[in-house]
Amino acid sequence: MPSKLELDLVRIPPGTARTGTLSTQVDELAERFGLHPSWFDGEVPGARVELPGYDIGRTPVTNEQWACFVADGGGEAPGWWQGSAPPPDLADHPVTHVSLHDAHAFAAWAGVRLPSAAEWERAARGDDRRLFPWGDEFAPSSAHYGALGTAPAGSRPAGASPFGVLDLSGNVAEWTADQPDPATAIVKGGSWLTTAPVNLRVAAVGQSGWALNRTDYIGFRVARSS
Amino acid sequence: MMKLEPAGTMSAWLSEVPAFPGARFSLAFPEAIGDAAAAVWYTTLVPEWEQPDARLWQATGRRPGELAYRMTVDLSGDDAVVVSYTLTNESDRPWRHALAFNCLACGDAWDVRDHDCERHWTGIAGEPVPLLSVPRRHSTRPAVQLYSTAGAPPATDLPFVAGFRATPDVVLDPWLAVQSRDGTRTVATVGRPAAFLFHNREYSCIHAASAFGPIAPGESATAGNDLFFLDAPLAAALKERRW
Repeated sequence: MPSKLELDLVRIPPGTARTGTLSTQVDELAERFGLHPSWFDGEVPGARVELPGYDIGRTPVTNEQWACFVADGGGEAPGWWQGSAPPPDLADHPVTHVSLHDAHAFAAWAGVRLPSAAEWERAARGDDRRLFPWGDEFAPSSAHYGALGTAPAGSRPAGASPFGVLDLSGNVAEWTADQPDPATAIVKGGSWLTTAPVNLRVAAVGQSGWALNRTDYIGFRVARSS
Repeated sequence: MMKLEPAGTMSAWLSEVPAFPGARFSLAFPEAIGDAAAAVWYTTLVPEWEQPDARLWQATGRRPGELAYRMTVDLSGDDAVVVSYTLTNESDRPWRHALAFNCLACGDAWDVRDHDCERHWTGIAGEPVPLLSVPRRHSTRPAVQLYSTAGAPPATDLPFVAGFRATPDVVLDPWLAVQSRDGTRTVATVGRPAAFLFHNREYSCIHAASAFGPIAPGESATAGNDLFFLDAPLAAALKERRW
């Protein structure tokens, strides 16, 4: 287990984040995925957000990286570790059972921050409004979902976004820095627990909830202004 | 025989459920109770449990000057838990609507757990419908959704519910159900009668709040909530008219 934190960040150039879902897309999406159109309400009407350049984690933060935080006295080990280090076979899996506040604490310790939802979506979509990081068609082999637990971070290279960012769809859902109110936060990306491809789309926000939640399916990745 | 284990503010764990071997369900009963305009939450009123016999638990709670309740949890069936309440208004206010908000969380029951609501069902005018086909209204907590139920006041009229800012314009039958991953078994919560329905994707939990109607100061009323853990698909359960 390395004692020094190493972060693999991907450079995202200045540009326009195309966030959410356009109102004109909703009926087609509802038909395609078999939901009432109102289930997309949290994603519409979509927006264009100008962003300066920034860096973002190529993958979610791993157990191994969280262990560096714990070893340095900054954070607590998730209860399921049963010690100050994760089980060795899960060291390279995304960390889970961390709240939004835990994630912020890690980022502050590491000298980075959490991405905004717009930064997260730009990292996933590049310069278009694709449904999934790899394109508009769902590709089961591109995301770790419908599984029994997490997978090694970055183990689905076919799911890379146009910028080469991994695990944006599946493995763990991810906290973002956006808080609709002080108690809640936007969660992006779907997870290993997700069974419906509609919830693996870049625009999906339906799993957002209490910022205090520590669950087995929510982790986070970091970002850095540049 | 199903096993209930009181667990402080969380209320109780339910395990050894015949149709779901190895599963554990979290029961927050009641998660909130009392005047719908000023319900008392489980975090501030922890029930006191006793077990009169092997298949029956009782819990009591009292907030002096506001309310007292007695809840019985009957485990005598192998596939149903029958929860019955008696609620007393100890305040000097007439309560227009009284309720008990109950939680059945399936996050520790792998065969049932469904954060995507793909296996969630409810009813409209007696017909089963997938929850994904039912309108919802977005809020700052998009994982949760409340629904009005037939025969109850519109959920928008209940201050307790309005606080969630997530009530859609739809009226449902008084139950929510989740089918198992293999489609052969069903978990359901049914209000007797239901004040409203509620589900939360964060924890894969379903709720059928129990409605007591109005309660005058010093008066009591009763209501209930049935939980089913059936070794049968939803269609079969509905055909047998279990609720």
